[in-house]
Amino acid sequence: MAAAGASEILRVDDMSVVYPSSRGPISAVSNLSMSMNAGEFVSILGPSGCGKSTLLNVLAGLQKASSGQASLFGKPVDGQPHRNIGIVFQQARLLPWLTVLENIFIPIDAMRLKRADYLDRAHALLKLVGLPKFAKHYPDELSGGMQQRVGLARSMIHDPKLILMDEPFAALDAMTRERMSVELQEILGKSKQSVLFITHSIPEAVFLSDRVLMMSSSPGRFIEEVHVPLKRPRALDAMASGEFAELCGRLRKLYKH
Amino acid sequence: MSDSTNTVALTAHNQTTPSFYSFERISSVLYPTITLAALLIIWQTSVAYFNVPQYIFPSLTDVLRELWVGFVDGGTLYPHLAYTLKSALTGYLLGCGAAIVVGALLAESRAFEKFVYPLIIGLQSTPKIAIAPLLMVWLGYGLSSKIAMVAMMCFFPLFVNTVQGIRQTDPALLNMMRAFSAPTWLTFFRVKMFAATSNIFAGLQITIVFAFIGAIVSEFLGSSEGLGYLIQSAMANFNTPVMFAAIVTLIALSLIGTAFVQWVHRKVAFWDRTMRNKGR
Repeated sequence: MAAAGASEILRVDDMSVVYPSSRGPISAVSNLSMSMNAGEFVSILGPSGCGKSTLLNVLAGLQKASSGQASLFGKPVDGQPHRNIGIVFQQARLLPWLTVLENIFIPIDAMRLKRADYLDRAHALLKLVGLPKFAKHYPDELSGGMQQRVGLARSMIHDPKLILMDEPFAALDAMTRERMSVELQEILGKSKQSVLFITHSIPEAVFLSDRVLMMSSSPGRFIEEVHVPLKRPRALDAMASGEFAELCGRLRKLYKH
Repeated sequence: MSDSTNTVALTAHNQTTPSFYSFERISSVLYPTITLAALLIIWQTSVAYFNVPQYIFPSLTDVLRELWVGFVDGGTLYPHLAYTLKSALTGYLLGCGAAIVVGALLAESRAFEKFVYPLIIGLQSTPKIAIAPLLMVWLGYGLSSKIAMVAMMCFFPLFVNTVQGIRQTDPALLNMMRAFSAPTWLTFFRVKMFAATSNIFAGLQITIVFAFIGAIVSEFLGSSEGLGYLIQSAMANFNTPVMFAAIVTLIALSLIGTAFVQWVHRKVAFWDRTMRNKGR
């Protein structure tokens, strides 16, 4: 830990996850190693079924690694969710019987903190994600993109240092998806959280990230690391630049199914 | 920044709710009423036409007269109605309350699920009516044996519905709660109980009908009051108009009970789309 430097918030060492199956053990991810520093936006890019979500589940404490180790903030994660992380899922996973505001308070209630202490922050977050007037609405009165923004606000309510995002925009239509990428970048510009972002979209990964880690499938392992030197804030126009196209091209060559 | 999508989502949602005087709403009541009226006319005319004796099949007017005497002019049916309602509703509340509490406890306990749940599923296949005479032996011929019978008839279906409803909770939502370090009790009261609501109400709707069946059956076996007793004593005198009047009253009770449970369901489970589409 001391050798790794003070700003390191996430470390994965030679981690493998093996699932039992009727035809013998199946290796989901194999010998993964990576680290992340505070303030970084890192994407894990790979084809469906390459074990991206397995890695994220281990980091979220929802699943145990078969060998190797994952640590958050210098402490090993072993099947116990860490309080200093937020998580955004592919589907918003809001509770339909609670209002938007009550949904955002779920991490607060779960950690037995006082809602009153976080009320201002909840409203500030709703404003940040562009839904200031929707606190009292129910999730099914919102569109898919709006629901996902509520999910984003929920993941940030307890001010976690790191947010894990598991293909958060994959269920949205292409237009909404692009707009959400721009908005996410704006939001993070203000809130300064670190993000580990799982995606199978090359342009999305390049547009959002400081660093992209490419994974191969079965078993999932890291095959390439690409730094994205594009200046922030990035507008959608950046996607038309030669540098952007060159980075995407490099990743696309590695993209084998 | 997303106002166009917002309004689309909101208006689309409003349109799924039919207005109170919409054509669908009126016709959904009107069409079956026409069928019912036709059946009643056929009943009345064919009984008169074929000269069916009253003790075999009374005419519609005989039954209506009996209902008039029973409820308006004399009120002889009221004590029986009150007795049956008392046993059915008390038993319903006790049986259903127990089913929800025990179901919730069991769905949360692995050990109980392994050791006891299969037995309860097995027990559910016993015809409860066969146990009614035993309840008479144990609890006597008064109200308590009827309440016990009703409670037992209501308990099992609702119990199974409650357990299944809680177990059917979307695993994605449970995973979400876990990721945010939610304690078990919070997940239970904030997620599982709500997820089970529709299943529980489906059970409450079935069991309200079972409650009246249970009450009537136990009154058949031995009682000096109640609609079931009335039917049985009328049978001894071949007084079919009274039997019909009692049966019509029971049908009305079941319908009102079912409608009431549905109404409560809509009020409670406001988030449930399947309920909302049925109008309000």
